[in-house]
Amino acid sequence: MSAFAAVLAALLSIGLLCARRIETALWFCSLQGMCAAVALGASGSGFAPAALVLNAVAVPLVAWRVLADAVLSAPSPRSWLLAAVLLVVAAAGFGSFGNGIASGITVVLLGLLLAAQGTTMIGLLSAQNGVVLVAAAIPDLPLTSVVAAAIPLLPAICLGHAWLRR
Amino acid sequence: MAPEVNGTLAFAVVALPFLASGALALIASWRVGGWINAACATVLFILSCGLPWDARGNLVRLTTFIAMTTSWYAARDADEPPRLHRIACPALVGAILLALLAAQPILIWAALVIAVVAATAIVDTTPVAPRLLLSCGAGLVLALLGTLLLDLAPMPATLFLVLGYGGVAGLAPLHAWLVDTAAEAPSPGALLVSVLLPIAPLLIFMRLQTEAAPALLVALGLFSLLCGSALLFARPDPRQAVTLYGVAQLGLIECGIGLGISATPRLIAMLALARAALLQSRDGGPTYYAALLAAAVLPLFALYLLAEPAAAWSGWLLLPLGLGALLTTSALPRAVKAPTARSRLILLTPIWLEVALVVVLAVVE
Repeated sequence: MSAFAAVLAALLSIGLLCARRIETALWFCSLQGMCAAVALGASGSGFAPAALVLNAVAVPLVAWRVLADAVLSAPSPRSWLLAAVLLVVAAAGFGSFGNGIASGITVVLLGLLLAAQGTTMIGLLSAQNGVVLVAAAIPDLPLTSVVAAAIPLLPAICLGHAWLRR
Repeated sequence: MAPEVNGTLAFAVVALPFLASGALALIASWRVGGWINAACATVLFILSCGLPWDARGNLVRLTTFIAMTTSWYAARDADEPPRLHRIACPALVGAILLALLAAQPILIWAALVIAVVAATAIVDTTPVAPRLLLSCGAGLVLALLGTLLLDLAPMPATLFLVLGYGGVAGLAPLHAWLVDTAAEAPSPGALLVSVLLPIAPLLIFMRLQTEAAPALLVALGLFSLLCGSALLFARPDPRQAVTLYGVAQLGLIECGIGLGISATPRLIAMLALARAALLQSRDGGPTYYAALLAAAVLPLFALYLLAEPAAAWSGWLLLPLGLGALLTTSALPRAVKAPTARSRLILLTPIWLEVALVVVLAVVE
């Protein structure tokens, strides 16, 4: 179940790169957040419901209100090439640590690529979901680390800044 | 990781800047607020003198000392900074002190998140804020990933930590936000962000050096050194030039950490003090030239400290190190626009004497 959720989240990252409308991108982020929360729950963490509410519901909803007028740029051929390189790096470098960690790192790297393309908020939210997937795949992680991974602090800061700037 | 500094004194050192920030939020007048900020920063420095006199304690004292001198400088400044800016400055200092004094990696990460929020508030009125959020946000995501993976996969975790915290410190290739912040933010805040924010990531690198990947630190340090020194020749404005000089010099320090030299905390302190003095002094006065001279000589001093361990590592390493240090030293006076040929001569003569001394020492060895 956990591995299935992690791989689905990685596939949603590729879908995010293709998204042209902000609503579509936020739906993908929300689904990715659900996958990450399911993986966290499957690992036995009691923090999974909080991760689900924050990453899959609260932040995407607020982002939808704040970023309603934003436009997503189409990825260039160079971006696709970079995405392919990142996929290979994650698979080759972290495949031996299991599906959860390799998929989580793929989601983080593709999220950061998305952030660098101009949609900082959505990219950081996706990367945060990747961090949750990695936290779910590491056995015996201390509670403080799980909490730091599950709370979307950086996307919330970006969102707060965008809200204040409106 | 290093043992945690416990006790009331460490708690007071971390709590006082946040209390000052809260007090400044309630005080409308900057005339009163500026002096309250200066008084709190002075008390903070005095308190920090009670901490242990080890590397970490010295970096805490360095932070509180620069925060104190900057608060004096800001209190005298005729320009009233925006309210959010003056609230955020002590909060930034508090977050950096928390990052320096914390032992748990996850707490250091959380402290640096607070520091990035404060830095964003400092530059909020300028167009650089979104770039700062992007670079530091991406850096902090990588750093969190590295922190989680540290026990399971030390090598890739170290790579993520060095790249991530390197972005927060403004090391190349994620240095652009720091250069823009130095140029565009109001001056006391720009000084705190560009001089103090790199100190906590450097302490993390010093802890990582013992755990893994000195070669990685040396490689990224060389990249920063050569990048920073080359960009100094692109005629940046004076504040950008001081920050680019900082990027180059931070690269030298990162190399020093990778090579395991014991004088790294001293180098960090000298760099931070030289940059703070240069940013605080007014153009043209004797203080300015003294600060510029100190800053320009520093890369050569760092090269002198690094030469022996670098040669022991690999003789070829001396080539990029020497090139970067010499380029930085020769480009700085030109980049910060020393006004006359005579003053440039005054500045450069001791530098070339230093170069000659380094060569003589190398030959004697």
